[in-house]
Amino acid sequence: MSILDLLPVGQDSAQWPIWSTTARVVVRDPAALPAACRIMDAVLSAVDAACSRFRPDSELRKLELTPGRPTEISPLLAALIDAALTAAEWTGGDVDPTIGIAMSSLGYDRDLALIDVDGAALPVTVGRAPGWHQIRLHGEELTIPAGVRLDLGAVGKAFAADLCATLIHTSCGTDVLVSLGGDIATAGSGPDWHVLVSDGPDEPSCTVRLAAGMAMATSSTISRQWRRGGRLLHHVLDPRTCQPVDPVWRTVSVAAPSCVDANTESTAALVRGLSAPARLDRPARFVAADGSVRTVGGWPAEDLGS
Amino acid sequence: MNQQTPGGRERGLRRAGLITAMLAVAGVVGSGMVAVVAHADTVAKSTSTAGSTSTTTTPSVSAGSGAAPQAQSAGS
Repeated sequence: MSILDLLPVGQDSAQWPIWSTTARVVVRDPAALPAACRIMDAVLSAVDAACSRFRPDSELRKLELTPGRPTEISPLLAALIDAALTAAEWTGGDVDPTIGIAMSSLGYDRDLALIDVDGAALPVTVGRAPGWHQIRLHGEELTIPAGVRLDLGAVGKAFAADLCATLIHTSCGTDVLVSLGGDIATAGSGPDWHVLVSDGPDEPSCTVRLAAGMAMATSSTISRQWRRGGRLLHHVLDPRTCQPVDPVWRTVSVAAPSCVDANTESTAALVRGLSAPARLDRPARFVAADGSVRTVGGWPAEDLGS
Repeated sequence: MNQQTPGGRERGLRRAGLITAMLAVAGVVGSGMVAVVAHADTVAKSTSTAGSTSTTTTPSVSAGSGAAPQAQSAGS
C-alpha cells in the first residue's frame, strides 16, 4: 500500500485510482467537495479522451490515421500539445513529446497495470527522437509527420491538475489542492498546504509547506518500472537516445507557479543528470541513487528527524 | 526564480477558453459564460502574478510545521 493510500480522506477530501496512480482533491470548504469531484471527473475524462496513448478512440490516436496532413483538433488537445511543445522549447529538447514510438518499443504500450512487468528481451535501438520541431501547431490546426507519435503522458497529467485546480477555484470559490500522483496543483489564496514529499515507504521523505497558488511535481526513475530480458526499464526517456535515462537521481521534486512548469523542470532534471541542480533556479529536491538528498533554489533543509 | 515559460500570455488566454468549455462539460455554466471566462482569465493572470511576486515576499515552499500532510508528491 502506498503512502498516498494512507493519507486521511475526510469531509474536505476525496481520492480514487486513475491512470495507474491516484487522484486526490482537498478543498477548504467541505460543501464544495461534491462539485469539485464532478469537475475533476469531467476534466480527467476529457483529457483522457483527448490524448491517451492507450485508447484507440482517443483524439490523439485517431490523428495517426492522417499523418502529414493538417487537421483541425479540439481546443483541449491543442492546449495540451501547446504545453508539450512549450516544455520542449523551454528545456532545449530535454523534454520532448515525440518519444511516443520509442516508449511503445520499450514495452510501455498500454496502461501500466496491463504491462508484463518481466517480459522477453527487446531489440535495443538507440537514436534520437524525431524532434518536437517537426510538430506544427497553428491555433487548432495540427500536423504530425508520418512516423511520429506523441507521448503527452507527463504533461497531460500536470496540465489536468492545473486545469482542475483553476476550474474548481473559479466555479466553487474555494481554495483547492488537486493531486494526480506526484503532480500537485493548488488554487486560491489561503494558508499553505502541507505536502509529503516521498516516493515510497522506504524512500527519504520530508513534509513541506506549499504556498497557496503554487504547484509541485515529482519525477522518478524508480516508479513505472518493468523488465525486458532482465533489463530494468522505466518511463523517463532521454530524447537523444530514446532510452531510459541513467538513474543518477531516484526522484526530483520541483515547486513552480504551475504544475506543467514544475513537471517540465522535474522531468528535465532527470534527463540532465548530474548537471541538473546547477541548471535549476526553482525550489527543488534531488534524491540521488545512493539515497542522499540535495536541495536547491530555496527548498527547505531536510529535517533529519523526518 | 519563478520565470514564466515562453508563451505564457497566449497560454493564459487559451486556458480561459478551455475553462469555459470545461465548465460547460461539467454542467457548471450555461448562460453567463462570458462573465465566467472574464473572471477566469483574471484569476489566471492574478495567479500568475501572485506566483511571481510571492518569491520576493514569501517562499513558494517552506519547512513543514509538523502538521499532517494533506497530499503526497511522489513520482508517477
